[in-house]
Amino acid sequence: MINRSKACLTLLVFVCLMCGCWDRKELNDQLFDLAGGIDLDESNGNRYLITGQLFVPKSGEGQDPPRSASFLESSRGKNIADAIDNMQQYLSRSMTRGHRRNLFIGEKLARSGISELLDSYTRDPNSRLRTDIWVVKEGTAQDIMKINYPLEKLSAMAPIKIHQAAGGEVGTSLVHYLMASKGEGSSPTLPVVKKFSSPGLDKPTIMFYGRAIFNHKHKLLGYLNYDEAHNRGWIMGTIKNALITTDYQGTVTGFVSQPKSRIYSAVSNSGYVKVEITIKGKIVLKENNSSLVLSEGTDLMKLQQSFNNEIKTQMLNLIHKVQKEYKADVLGIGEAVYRQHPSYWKNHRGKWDNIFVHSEIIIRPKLEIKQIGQQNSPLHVK
Amino acid sequence: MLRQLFDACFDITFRSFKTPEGLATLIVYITGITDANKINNDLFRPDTHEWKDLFTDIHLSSVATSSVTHSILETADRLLQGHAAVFVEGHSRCVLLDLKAKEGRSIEEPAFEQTIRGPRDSFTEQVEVNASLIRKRLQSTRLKLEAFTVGSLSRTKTIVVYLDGLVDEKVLCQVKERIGQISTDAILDSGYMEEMIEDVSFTPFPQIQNTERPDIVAANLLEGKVVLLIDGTPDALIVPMTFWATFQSAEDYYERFIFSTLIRWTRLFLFIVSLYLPSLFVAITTFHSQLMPTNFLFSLTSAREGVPFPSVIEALLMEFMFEGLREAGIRLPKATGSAVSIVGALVIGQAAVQAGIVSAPMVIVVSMTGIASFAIPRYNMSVAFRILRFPMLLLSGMFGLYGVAIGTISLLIHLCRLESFGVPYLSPVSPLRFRQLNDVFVRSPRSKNSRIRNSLSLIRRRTGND
Repeated sequence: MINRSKACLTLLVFVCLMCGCWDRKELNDQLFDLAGGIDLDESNGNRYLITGQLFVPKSGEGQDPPRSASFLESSRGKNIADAIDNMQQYLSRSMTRGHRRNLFIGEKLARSGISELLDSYTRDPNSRLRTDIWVVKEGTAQDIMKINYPLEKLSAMAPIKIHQAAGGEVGTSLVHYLMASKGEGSSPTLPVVKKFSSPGLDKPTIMFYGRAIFNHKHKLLGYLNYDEAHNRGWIMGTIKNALITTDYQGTVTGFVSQPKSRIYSAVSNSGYVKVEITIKGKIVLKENNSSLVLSEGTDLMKLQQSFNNEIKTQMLNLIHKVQKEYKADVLGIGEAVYRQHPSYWKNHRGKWDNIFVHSEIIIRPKLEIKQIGQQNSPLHVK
Repeated sequence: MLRQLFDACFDITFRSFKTPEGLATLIVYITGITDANKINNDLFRPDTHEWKDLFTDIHLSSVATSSVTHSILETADRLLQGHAAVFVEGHSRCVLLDLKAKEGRSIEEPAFEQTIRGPRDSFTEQVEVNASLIRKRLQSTRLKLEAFTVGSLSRTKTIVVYLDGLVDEKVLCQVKERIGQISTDAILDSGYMEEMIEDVSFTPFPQIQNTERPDIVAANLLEGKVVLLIDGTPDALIVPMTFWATFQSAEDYYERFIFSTLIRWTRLFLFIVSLYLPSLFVAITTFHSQLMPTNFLFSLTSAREGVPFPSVIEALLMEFMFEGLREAGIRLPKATGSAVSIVGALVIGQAAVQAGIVSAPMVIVVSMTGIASFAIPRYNMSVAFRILRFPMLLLSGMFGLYGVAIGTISLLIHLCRLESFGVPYLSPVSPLRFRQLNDVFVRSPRSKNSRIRNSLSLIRRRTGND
């Protein structure tokens, strides 16, 4: 009996060894997709033109003359999976999407809607959730992917690092998009890049532009520029620092550390919402071209007031833009109302887009100057 | 009669002569194991005795410990142990003198269990010397050394050492019972004994700890363990052994406890490395490449470019080569040892990578594994993990992390089932005994650790007196 079970066990081991259905896939049989680009393509009944930036492993020692570590390949298809399958026909190794960190979406495609490609992205377990999705302003994904960025070995890493250096969160834009589109009231957004020529150098490079606003049907509505996107981040609490410049008898620039905000909301029975956003931060002066004597309390208070007025103006502009122009709540106000007045939300969630457009939003800036730096007054002030 | 027994034994010596009183006398001994100098000097050239007293009882007992026997078989027995037999005319008896030759290695530094701090003596092949080394450390009448003779031909003297009142009686009974049940021709090394008395033979894990350091023996005796000293081997056996003894080194108890604890954690980590690193590497690179950071993955892919074998085969090949090098290193004489290391380092490390047969990361993984396995203080335990690395590697090559998990679970099941003389192998972690945990993952300071500090209080508690 024991012998028989032992024999069975041995046979079972051989079955495992010989059936050949190992999931093993050597690193060198896989093709790693670093960045993908998706554009709208209406030729021959196809819908998508996908571009992949594919990693080329270099053999031998590390002292090789620098070669391009990646190459581009593109294909067309009815949907994303179809396009990838088409691309596989001329790739010697199997596509692995698990390490894709960037996905660029051309403006045209973004305007016509991105829900299909989001499904392809979230359904496949091999796809990476920590992907950054970028909208390419005034261009196609291929425009961006063709740029050879000099600093990064893999130029697909460039937008991520630029975004990081600018104080933004990295690797979360897909997740945040999904959260916003499923969350209460808010409209989803994505970061934006743009092909750009550096002034005077006439050389194309990648620029981080701001944020793209989508409506609930996942169609692009419009953009927030860099400063507006940064101010939006201030309200949402996603930025780590900010720079603010005010004009008070000459320009003064302050570095804001610990930017914080708080949203208070009040609802009336008629369904009208009043929102009050408090903006807080600690300012360290970086440059002072004004004639203010900063060691004097009154001058310092005046400057602080000027900073507060400046941020208030900027914020009100931003709010006006999203409220009146795009009519999309991308500031997390719906979320705040939902948390602060759950019973109100239950009755009004369906009408939120309309309520948001007509709600009254006021800004209460509370910036404080904490350090004036090593200088008192600038040199030109005697 | 004796001549008949010792037929064809060239080393037996019969010396017959007549005493001054004219009594025929016969001295029998075995050359080599009996101290011939003592016979010549003390027996025949007495400084303290008159000639007429020669070979009287007083004289004989002044030369060495003597005993009297009438049995020829006992005489033969004692002769084989190194006694000299003296027959004097007119007496139907034989006087046996314990004139064993005290030859053999002197006490040297431990060869394998070296420490920076702590005593530097180690056991020798002579069981009497070994017993004295323990006795010197524990000068108490509670230290009991019970002698047994094992092996029908080797007649190996085996001493069971324990501290009376402190020892776990159940373990002691089992040890004695198992020694009594041994029926074998010879015990040539402690390894023979270990295999004869261990609980389970079909396991890579040792269930009996061995050591060449008397200080480790003394410390284990104080913890209530039983120690076996076997004549002819420089290793003492300590029972029962638990899995966690793997990570305890003698030095842990001599250095400051914070450092000891950190080092113990390092060993624990290195042990995991030595078991899992190659299999995890293979599993992650070939099954779950998403688990790796992107940049790391790219440098790995670049390094693997052009390597002809799948990574499982590559890892197995390198592990095999490494084991071969290690084995060759043990066998080779010291003079050629450096040649092997040069060949190993150059041929395998450098040339194989340059030739594109193996990838550089795999060389790093295998050598890290090798170094990690040397960090385990118990050699027999590190051997166990060296063996287990290979099935783990195969499993990971076939099923990825799933296979590693299967291997780990089966290993844990096996370890949980093991027992060493009735003590669960994984105790005190499984079954969990909080009070005993203070010497497993940490080496708690002596002031806090009553078990290490003062075992006598334990005795008092048990016996209620003293």
